Amino acid sequence: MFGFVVRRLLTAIVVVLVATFVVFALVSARGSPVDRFSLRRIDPTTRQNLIEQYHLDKPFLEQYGLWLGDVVQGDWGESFRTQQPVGDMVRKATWNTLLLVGTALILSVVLALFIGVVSAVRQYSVFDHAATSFSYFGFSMPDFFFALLLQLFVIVVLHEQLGIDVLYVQGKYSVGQQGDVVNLIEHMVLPVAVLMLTSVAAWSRYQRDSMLEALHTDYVRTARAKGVPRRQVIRRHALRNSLIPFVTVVAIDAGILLGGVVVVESVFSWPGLGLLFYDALKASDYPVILAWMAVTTVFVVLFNLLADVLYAVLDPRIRTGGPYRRRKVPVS
Amino acid sequence: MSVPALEVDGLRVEFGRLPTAVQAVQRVTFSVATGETVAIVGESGSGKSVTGLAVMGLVDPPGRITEGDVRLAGKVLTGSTESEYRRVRGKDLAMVFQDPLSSLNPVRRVGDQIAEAARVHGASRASARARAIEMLERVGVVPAARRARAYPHELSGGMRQRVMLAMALVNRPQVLIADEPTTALDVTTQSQILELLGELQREMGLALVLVSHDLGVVAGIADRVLVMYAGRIVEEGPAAEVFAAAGHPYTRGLLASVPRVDDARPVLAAIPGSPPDPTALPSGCPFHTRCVLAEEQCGERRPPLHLLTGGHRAACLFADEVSIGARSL
Amino acid sequence: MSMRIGDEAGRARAEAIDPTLLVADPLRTPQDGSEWRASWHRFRHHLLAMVGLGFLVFMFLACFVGVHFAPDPFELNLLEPPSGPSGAHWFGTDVLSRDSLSRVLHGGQISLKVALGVAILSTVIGVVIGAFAGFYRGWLDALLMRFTDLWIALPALPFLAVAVSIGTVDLGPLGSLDLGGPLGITLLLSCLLWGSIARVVRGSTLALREREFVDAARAIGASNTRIITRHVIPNCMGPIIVNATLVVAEAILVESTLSFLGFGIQPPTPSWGNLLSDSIGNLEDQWWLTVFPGLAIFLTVLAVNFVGDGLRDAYDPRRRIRA
Repeated sequence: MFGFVVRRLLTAIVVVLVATFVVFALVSARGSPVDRFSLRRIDPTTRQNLIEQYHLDKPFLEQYGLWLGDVVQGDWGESFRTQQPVGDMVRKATWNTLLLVGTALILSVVLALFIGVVSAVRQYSVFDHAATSFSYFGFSMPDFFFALLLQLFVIVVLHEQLGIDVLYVQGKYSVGQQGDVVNLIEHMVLPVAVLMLTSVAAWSRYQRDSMLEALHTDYVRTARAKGVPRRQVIRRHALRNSLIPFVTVVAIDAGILLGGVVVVESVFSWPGLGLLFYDALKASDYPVILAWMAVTTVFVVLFNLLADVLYAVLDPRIRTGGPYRRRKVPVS
Repeated sequence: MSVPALEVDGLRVEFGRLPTAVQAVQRVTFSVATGETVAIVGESGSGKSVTGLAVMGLVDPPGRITEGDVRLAGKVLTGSTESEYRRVRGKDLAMVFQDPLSSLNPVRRVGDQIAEAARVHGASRASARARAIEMLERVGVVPAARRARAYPHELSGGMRQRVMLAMALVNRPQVLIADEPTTALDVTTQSQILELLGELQREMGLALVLVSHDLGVVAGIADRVLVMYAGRIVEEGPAAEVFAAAGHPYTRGLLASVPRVDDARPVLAAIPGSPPDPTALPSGCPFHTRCVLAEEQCGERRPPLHLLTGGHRAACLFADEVSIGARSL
Repeated sequence: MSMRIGDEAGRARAEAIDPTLLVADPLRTPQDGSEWRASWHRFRHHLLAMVGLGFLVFMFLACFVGVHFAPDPFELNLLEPPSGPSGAHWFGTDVLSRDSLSRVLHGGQISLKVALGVAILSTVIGVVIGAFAGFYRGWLDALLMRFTDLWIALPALPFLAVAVSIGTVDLGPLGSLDLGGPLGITLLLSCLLWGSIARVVRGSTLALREREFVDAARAIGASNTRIITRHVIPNCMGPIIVNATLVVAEAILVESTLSFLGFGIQPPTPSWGNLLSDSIGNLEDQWWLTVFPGLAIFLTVLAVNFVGDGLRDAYDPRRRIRA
């Protein structure tokens, strides 16, 4: 087990290095940040400083190496747009995004499990068909459109027509109400709902299929033949086994949430990583773009690693060296 | 005469809905006394496995029992609710299945799975654990305490099947249905498991129903044999009688096709043709299309079970001749 | 890369978990005329799929043919205020008094063209990678599949946005390519979305290479490439087509999101995405500017998903897990 984790970790590090290199190449392909994309005219001294700071006069590979060195030592540079240290910006934004994404993740998992399991156990029932319809709705609805629709609904229906003054459509806090939890929640409801839409639609469907598969296995039949009550069969045998692939899928899909966050935060003006990226790209803010992309990639790689490790933890067949099957779903 | 441990009376199991409903099991009747071993023999598709599942109440939609009764020590089981069934399953009536690797939960330790069978029928956690280890010892999985902590994939095929037996018998049921318990195992392990089965039966006074397609397996252990074909019982009787003087051409064919070590014949005898499509059964006797003795009347009406000797019956119009012919070999 | 965790992408991941699980059995793929007819027959009976197909046909006709009968989408009238749906302007007019319906239809042209292009191109890439991985197995397979897994997990949008912002690329003798234009976006998206197809093809190839006709082809001296292209790939057409349909849906969504954020198709060229971003400022006043383009995206993607579901059932009806 330990060897397994170590091997995976080493692979992950290699992948991260390769990925950051690719990201670096991609961002640098846009051209030197001080030549093509400056928003303001820079005086020669500032220009020279920037060139030195970001090693822009060195050959490409050396640039990469130096950048990597800087990053590892904690120097992420300063934003072209705001002159603040990139590290601080990222840290603050990360906290805000975690708030949103974390909430959405937990709620999505719970809801998806519930919908998926009930749909499977009561296959072809009204609930199942409703859940299926909802899934289709969720897959097909663009999140930015959904976000706008929700805003429209809140403004026109709730605020204007019905005069109910809850829920906000922009930002994190109302002016002067920092620290007010209720206010925070009112601001969070819409963005979290949009983030949840796709996740719940996809995960519930996946769990339904996974659960159906588990319910028809031989070992579930054995459990029934032993006299295990139906509820317990569902919970202890089918559900427990179907959670293994579910957990790995959620871990892998974490990357998807990062993509969704860009849209959601820009529409709702939520001061998180997504909005940070959006502003940075619009302003050609090279250090921030670079940092953001690198962090995202590392994040995705780590979550893939986590998925692998989780799978090994949960499925003893991988752990105790039976015939090694990568992420095999426990089916008969 | 005491009540038989298990009685199956006129059982009919249907799959699907009209007009394309398939009769998987048609009017099957038999009984098993305590300490007796009844073997149900047939090819795949003969309905033998479905019979076993029907007794346990494990036939799921789109299948259902349409007629007949199953009685456990005189008490009618068919028609019970799911919770009534589950009180009986694993406790008075148990079943082991064909493939122990897929039939055991791959992510739980085998000891826990055996203990679960005890716990769902009222044992405390500690008592269940103890009984599980005791059973593992009894079935020959030793050292029991260590093996109990193993996962199914860590054990060999034979050990897994022993675990299945331990799991089925931990509550000392009266009736055990074994559906092809040795099919997934190699020959040496097969005989070990069969021997174990025999020991356990004697020790616990089990009524054993052994479902198999393999006559060799059945020969050593069965008291009575039922031969099924296309959902029907075509021959039944004491094992010795059926083997020595089979009255149905199908049974003769099955017996003849078992390769024997002392057989000098170079060619494997096989029954020509293949089992009928359950949705399109032949008219009259279901076997007549493959039968060397078939005459016109065989396709016209279905032969009833004809009494040969005490307890030995065969569903063939020529049963007497077939039986005498077999005996003379 | 997968911006959407579409049903089939989830399935592709399940595929990654076990190729024989939850996917149309490649061994059941139609290999002759009668099986194609049987599949079409099954498809025709899938109500939602037929509805979806009908809608898509209608959408195509509207965007490419009907558009010629609509008012000029670029015709401005700065003096008139935007108006809601009316007899003259079915979808209303926007801030610059351009007819909204025709802008939606023109936008549709771009979105649909990009989506189709991406589906075809990413299928090609995915098939090649998947077939090679599945056929040659070993370290090549392991390497390619690890890479594919990661590729699928990465969020498409940020990478796409950064790539597009590279601007115009000089391809030497081939001229220059504007990465932010429809063609550029098509190429980039194709490079991002081939993952699920590669996974599926690899799974099918793994299974198919064990079959007798592969040995037979080898026996008559066919080269590996020939075996792959002539025998293996045609036999996985079912899952390939199903996944390609999913890619169409994903492509529409990603492209419109990109345009919405302002990194994709730029105004005044209409695209469903940038029509929606134009509407943000006047959300409550001109709801029609938001609703109609958004509905266009939603309904089109929904229709594609229905068709995809129908195709899945058509190629392997056994997949429906019955109680």
